[in-house]
Order: sequence, then C-alpha cells, then structure tokens
Amino acid sequence: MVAPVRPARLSLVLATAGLTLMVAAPLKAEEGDYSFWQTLVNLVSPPKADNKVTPAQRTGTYPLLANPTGFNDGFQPGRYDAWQTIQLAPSTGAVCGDGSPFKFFVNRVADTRNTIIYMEGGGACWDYASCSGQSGIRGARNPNGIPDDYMSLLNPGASLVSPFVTRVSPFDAVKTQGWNMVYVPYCTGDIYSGDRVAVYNDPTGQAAPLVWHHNGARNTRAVVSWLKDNLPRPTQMLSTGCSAGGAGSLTSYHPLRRDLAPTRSFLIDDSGPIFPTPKNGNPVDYPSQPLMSLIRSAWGLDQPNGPLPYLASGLPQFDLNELGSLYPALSSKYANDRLGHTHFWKDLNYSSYSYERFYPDIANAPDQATKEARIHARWNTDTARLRDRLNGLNNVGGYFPQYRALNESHCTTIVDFKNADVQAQNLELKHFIDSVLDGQGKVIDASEQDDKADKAKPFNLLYWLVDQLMG
Amino acid sequence: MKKVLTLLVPCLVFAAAVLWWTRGDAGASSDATRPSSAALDTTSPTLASLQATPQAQAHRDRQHFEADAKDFFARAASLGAVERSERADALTRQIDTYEAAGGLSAGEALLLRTALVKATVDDPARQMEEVAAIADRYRTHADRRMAAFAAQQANDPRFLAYKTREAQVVAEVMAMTSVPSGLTRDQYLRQRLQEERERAYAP
Repeated sequence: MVAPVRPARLSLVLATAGLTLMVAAPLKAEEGDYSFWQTLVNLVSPPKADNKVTPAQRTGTYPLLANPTGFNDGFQPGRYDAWQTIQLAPSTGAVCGDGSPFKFFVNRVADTRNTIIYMEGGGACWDYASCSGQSGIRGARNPNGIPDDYMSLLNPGASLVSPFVTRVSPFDAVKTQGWNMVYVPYCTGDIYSGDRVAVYNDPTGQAAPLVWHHNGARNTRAVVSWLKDNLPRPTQMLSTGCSAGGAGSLTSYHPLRRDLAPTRSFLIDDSGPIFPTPKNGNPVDYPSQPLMSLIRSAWGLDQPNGPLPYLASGLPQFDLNELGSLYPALSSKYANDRLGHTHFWKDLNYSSYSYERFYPDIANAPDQATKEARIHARWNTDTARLRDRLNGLNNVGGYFPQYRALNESHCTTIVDFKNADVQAQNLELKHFIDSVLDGQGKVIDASEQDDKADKAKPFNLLYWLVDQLMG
Repeated sequence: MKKVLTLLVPCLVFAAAVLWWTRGDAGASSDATRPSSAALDTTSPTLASLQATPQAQAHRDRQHFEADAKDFFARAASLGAVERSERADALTRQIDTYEAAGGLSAGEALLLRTALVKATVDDPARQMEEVAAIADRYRTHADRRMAAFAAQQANDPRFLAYKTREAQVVAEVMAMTSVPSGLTRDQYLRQRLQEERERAYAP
C-alpha cells in the first residue's frame, strides 16, 4: 500500500528540481560559455583578465606593451553588448598611417569567454599616390585616422559588415554572433603586417613628402597586449577579416594565437591570399611576384628582426623565399586548429591591386573587358596554385566559389553568407564556415568550375544597396 | 513506490545538476568562472537579487530583442499584414534605441533596417526608394561626422605639434651619414618618431 502523495508537495518538489536544473545548466552548449549563474554574477562583477602579459613578453622583438599607468583607455568592463572605443597610447607602439593615435573597438558579452578578432579590410598602399588618399587610384582605408565614433558611422567598412560581427543578422546565424567581438580598424595600408615609416615623395614635386607609418605589425601587438591585460583568455577564438583584413588575420595568426592562447582556435582568411610565390620567381609563372617584391621593401618586411624574420623565428616551416609557405607552416605548427581560406575566382578587387599597376598590358588595355580578362587570367594562375596547396593540408580548407554580384566579387563573408555557393558540389559558404568552426576531420575543400549559375541569379536589393554605398 | 519515485527523481535531477555545474565552465580557469559561494546558494536570496539587478534586466531585454528580431525575419513571410507591420514597428523602435546607445554598429543597423523594408514592403520599386532613403540618411550622417573629425584633428594641438616635429625629425634622420645605436635608418626613424608622439600626447 503506497501512501498518496499530496499534490501540493509533489508540485513543490518538482518545481524545486526543475528550477535547480534550469539555473545550473548553462544557457548554451558551447565550450567557453559561462553558466547561467556565472553570467548573472558577471553582469554585476565583470570577469577579469586571467592571462595577463608576462614581464618576459614586455621585452624583446615586438614586445607586448601596455598603456601607461593613469592613461584613460576608455574601457568600461561592465558595459556589455555595446561597442566601446579602446584608446592606445603612443608608448604601446601603436599609430595610424598619418601619425594619429590608433584605437580599436570591443563589444563584450557576459555569457561567454569566446572571442572573435575581426580585422577590417580596405586596400593597401605603397607610394605617394596610393597612401595619400588621392582619387582615381586604388589606395588604403582611413588615410586620416580613426574617429572615436567610428562604429556608429556608415563608412565603407561598416557597409561591408560581416555576419561574423553582427549580433543580430537578418540573414545568417553563426556562433560568433554571441561572442565577445574585437573590431580592429585599418589605417596603415599594409595588411596589418608592416613595420616601417615610409617617406614618399610627391612625384609632381609640388607637395611635401608624405610620411606614412606602415605600422600594422606593432598595432596588432598592441591590441593583443590590451586584450591579454583586460579580458579573460578566450576558450574559443576566431581570427578573421576580409581583403586586407583577411590577409592580416593570416599573417598575424601565429603571434595572436600563441599569445592569446585559446583552447580552440580558428582562422578564416576571406579574400586576402598570400599566393605561393618564390621571392625571385618569374612573373609569367608567378603573377604576384612584382607586388610581393615591392611591398617587402616598402613595408619593411625583411628588415633585421622585422616582421618576416619574427614570424619565421616561430614557424619552422615558413620559408622567407616563398611567402605562400605560411599556410603549411601554420598547418604544421597548429595541427589541432582549424583554418580556412576563401575567395572568388572572379574577384576583381584584390586582383586589381595585385596586378594592375605592375603589368603594362593591363594598364594599357584597349578596353575594360580586355583589362579584366588579363587580370582574371593572372588571378586564375595564382588561385589554382593556392587551391592545390591547400588541398594537401588536412586542417586548412580552401573554398573557391566563382562570382557574386557584390563588391567586384570581392570577399565571400561580407553582408551575408549567401551566393557564394559551389553548386556542382551542392555546397554553400555556410557549409565551409561550419566545417572550420564546428567540423571534424579534414576541413572542406571546394572549387567551382564556372560562373554561369552565379550570373543567372536575380537582382538582389541588398547587394544593390551596398554597391550604391560603395560608390 | 510512487513516493519513492517522487523523492528519487528530484534527488537525481539535483545531483545531475550539481555534477553538471561543478564540472566548471569548459576550457575556463577555475577562478575566473566559479561564482562566489554566495552566488551559488539557492536557499539565499542572492540568486533572486542577482536576477533583479538593472544589469540583469538589461541583459534579458537585449536577449529578448535579439530573439524577437531573429524570429521576425525567419517568419515574416508567414505573418499577417497587421502583425507583421506592428512587429516591424516595434523592432524599429528597439533598433533606434540600441543604435543610439552604441549597441548596434551603423552597418548592423543599416542591414536590419533594410531587411525590415524587404519584409514589410511588397512593391519592389518602393523597396528601392525606401532603402535608398535609409542609405542617404546614413551617408549624410557619416559625411557630417567625418568632416567634424577632420576638423577636430586639424585643430588638435597635440597632433599639430607632433606633425611639426615629425617633418623635422624625418629631415634630420634622412640627412644622417651614420645612424646611432646600431639600428638601421628605418628602425631609428621609427623609434625617434614614437618618442615624439609620446612627448606630444603626454598628459
């Protein structure tokens, strides 16, 4: 005979058990997320840094330097879900191309340690014309520095915002949307990689020389230093960006990943390739050789203890005579990380930067169609070689769709993750992103053969809008 | 038997919950993720007081906004015209509020507003007009702010002082026949200019 249980007591017991389970279980299942309770605590008592810069890291080549004591960096630890401007003092080594102070932006959340580092794109420069911001030539973003309210301005960079760094994307969901976000603006024209104060003379002789700080390598170090001193160590971290930001995320991945020391780390280089190119390779076979040769000098990449020797010192397989060896070098050094590279075969932006000013047959092409065909031909040569290289790396995927009617088919991950499909393999870009961020085994490799299906797609209002904004 | 189950089930649930919690937050160091003992005591009023803080309320509001926006964009096509319009208006007000407070970047807000137009306006020509008007508004604001920033920079005495010294130091270093401290000319120039910036921007 079992005694009946009083309904009121049963309800109370079940309610208690249910509440216990609800508050004890994390809100999400992602590695690195805080529990519900801890999130509530974090909201009133923000978690502190637990991976601070060590004294040894404050010295040596490319040290991690802090703002001086008493300097107001603008950070409010308890201000969540809002973009905060982080000021970096000159003594951190950070500076914009024009000599104005460098700053970056943080959007913090209370419920996870996971962090995305997003590097803004925006061209490149290596002489007076391209670095001075004059019209009629492809140059670099933000030649006059970064305003404090940059994130609230619809600058071209903001109009190309990626679903990776939007909290509420109307079009795509990706797990980084719930992470701490770090937006690194671009103002040095050197794909975040240079370390040289260039003095560019006005070719007309009319204006004073342009003093330009190709300071990307040191700016990135200053950002890493601040992150280590102010935020918890990421459990998961994605380093990404498009165009110059993609290239920057690739070239800075090793020091960034080493020093921030996430448990799980990911890289997605969107449309910032470093093509396999021997230092003295024949431009007929290696079309990016003239560009690479020029920037190595203009940005001070090869100087003693400079950016490239510094990278090579930590990446045994990185061959300074062939910069595209960075992919296998990272693959080998970080065999448990998942890395990806993506760009369009019909990219007409990064390709124009790469070849337009280096090949007279392009500069002097009789018409636009011929010019574009000559650019595409060289891009195809470079891309095919990169695709083949990435195919051989298990933890580095290469994803190469053909064409999108947006921003000269430049950048696959901006605005939305749509229309970067590889129809023949029934793949969408999101499959590739998921393979990097959540996959197992070999990261997806995919390459599209032709652009017929892409060009047959209907008008897209959103893309039209963005192209209008880009002017 | 029923009584035993009644007691056993909550105990098992409680034990599972405790085990789940005590595993710690994955990948996190213990001191950074463990709540204080007070925060864990469900019999104390701490949990209730934590949930009642303005910060917790703001957090819930934000999560509700994000969930509501995602739900709206996912189901807009299947909603009735009145509900769709009302929810779009409510979202617009929230976008205004969060954008003004820095909770949405300009690019993010623009994408949301564009998506709202797509979801609520059927006529393609009107869609283009409304989206173009939104873009114009943002562009005008950005142009005005960038002009203000340029003016501010051009009149910033610290920046002006630095730029004056920058030109002098560049001329001096470029004219040197030998560079001190065993540095290359580029390294020395960079170092000198950083020192000038530290001086110009010293508090």
